[in-house]
Amino acid sequence: MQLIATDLHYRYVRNLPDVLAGAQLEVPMGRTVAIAGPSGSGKTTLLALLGGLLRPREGQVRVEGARPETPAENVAWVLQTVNVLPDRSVLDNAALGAFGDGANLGSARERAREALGQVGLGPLIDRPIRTLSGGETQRVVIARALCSLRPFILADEPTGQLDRRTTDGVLESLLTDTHGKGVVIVTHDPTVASRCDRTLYLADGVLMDHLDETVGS
Amino acid sequence: MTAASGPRAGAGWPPREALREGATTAVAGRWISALLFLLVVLGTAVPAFADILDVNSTVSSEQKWVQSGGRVLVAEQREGSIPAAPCDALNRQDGVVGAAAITRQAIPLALTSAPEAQITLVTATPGIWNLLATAGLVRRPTAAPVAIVPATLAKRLGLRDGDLVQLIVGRPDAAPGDAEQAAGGTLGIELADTPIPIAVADTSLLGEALATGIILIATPTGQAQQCFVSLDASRVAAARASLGSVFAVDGRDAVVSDRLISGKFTTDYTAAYVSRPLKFGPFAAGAVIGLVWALVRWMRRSHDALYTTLGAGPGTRAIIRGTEWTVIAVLGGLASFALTVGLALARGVDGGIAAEYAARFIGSSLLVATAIIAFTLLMKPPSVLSALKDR
Repeated sequence: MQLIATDLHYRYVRNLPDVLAGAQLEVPMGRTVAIAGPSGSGKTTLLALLGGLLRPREGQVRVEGARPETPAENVAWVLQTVNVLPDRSVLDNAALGAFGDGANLGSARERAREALGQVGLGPLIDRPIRTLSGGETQRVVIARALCSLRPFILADEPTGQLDRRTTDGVLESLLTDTHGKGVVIVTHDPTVASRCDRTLYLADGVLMDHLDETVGS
Repeated sequence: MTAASGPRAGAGWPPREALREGATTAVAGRWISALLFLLVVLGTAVPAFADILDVNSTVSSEQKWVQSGGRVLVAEQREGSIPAAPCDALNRQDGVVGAAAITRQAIPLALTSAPEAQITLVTATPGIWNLLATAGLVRRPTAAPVAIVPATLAKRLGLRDGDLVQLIVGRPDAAPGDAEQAAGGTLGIELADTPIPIAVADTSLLGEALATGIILIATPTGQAQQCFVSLDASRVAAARASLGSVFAVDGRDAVVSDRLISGKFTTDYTAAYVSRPLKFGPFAAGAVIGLVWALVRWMRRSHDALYTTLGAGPGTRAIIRGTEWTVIAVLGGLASFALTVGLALARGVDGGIAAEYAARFIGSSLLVATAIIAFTLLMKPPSVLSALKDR
């Protein structure tokens, strides 16, 4: 199973140039891919297209080998800003990741407990999530993605607001605990990119292995 | 929302879990839920209470007005009398609350217990019970004959409802029995030479001239001085126009007048009720609640976007938000009802009026709010991407 993006074009305003102009990408399950690039280069837009939050003007995103092949049903998200429900417990927030796959409350909580244990938050499951640190909260978000049966995880600057030490812990969870899933991480942090299986650079609307080479063409 | 046959990637939220999520959000929502709950309670209870006081004031005033002769027409000939039978027959007409042919007799009346009392004798056909009872002034007797004694007179003579009295009709020095038999035959009243029970009543509906006399029930035959007709509000105008011919004598219509003098300064209770300021209060209260909800929802648009990334489609999100609103609306509505009725009862408002108008006001307000909220749930949400960035 792999996530395939073909010849993606996207622009926000009709008369402005494309933010993405023919981007292509293939992410097999079990692999981690970092997408780097300067601010405003379209990294988050590319991720939104890969996850089905935006529809490309041209091109296609599909998950080969999945049914359905549409990306929205096959990706889980770890977002740039810490997106949790602040009035709920750690367990409740993690379990939310399972409902989209049709899980009932019992099985969702069972999966959440397991995922929270994986990311090292087992002892904190009953705590209100607002009492956790930024790094711990981001690990809950990773556990939420692990709760899901979806084969791919899209992470948008998951360590962008964390200090170095916390970043290491979160990155460990994201790259190690998600074994078997395909992971795409948008980052401008070279350290994060260096720990992924592959790093791609987004410039002038296309993805490149190096800043002067277009990928996949 | 996709129907879920079992856990698999992208199967969609089970509706039951969406319902549970909405209910949990309402309960766990802390300040936001508390704010919305208070908004529902105070936003409906305060105007509902004010409306109930207004309605109660109008109803009380109208009730007093009706008890003192409002909506009562009096038909009489300028010279002479009117037939009693058609007057009492009006009791069988739709829209007639009560009708009685009434005559103020010239014969003096006394009681054996107060032989020197100079009491006015009034005779009335049996319709007098409808005329007085429907206004809540007197209970119907279980057995005739009964003398209806005005409350003020009863107080002066030391009589209470249900007491037995022996009447002396005619000269004060006449022996009980003789004069009654003679007078009864003349007046069409059934007199006994034994004591009869009295019904104490507020007879002010009949006006000052009649309200101080003891009323004896006469057979509905012969002639009477006046016909008193109490009517439903909707029938007054038509009756005012038609009653004159009912009591025509020798081609001369009877004169029909309102028992209470009315004019442009007379309160129109129907108009006062219909045009009360808070009649449309539920629309305003519901709109405020609905718009505040929409504002709160806009402030929490990142939560909705988060649900979207968690596989909750528009239908699932509508169930979650709809359930959250339902929980707050039901709990807030019940609390508002209890508060409103409690306040109204403490202010002496009739329980029936308090419950009816509280339920009506609060229910209507919440329906309006629900309509607005349903509309906002149907509106296209902002871009998920931008909503996720708006924290």
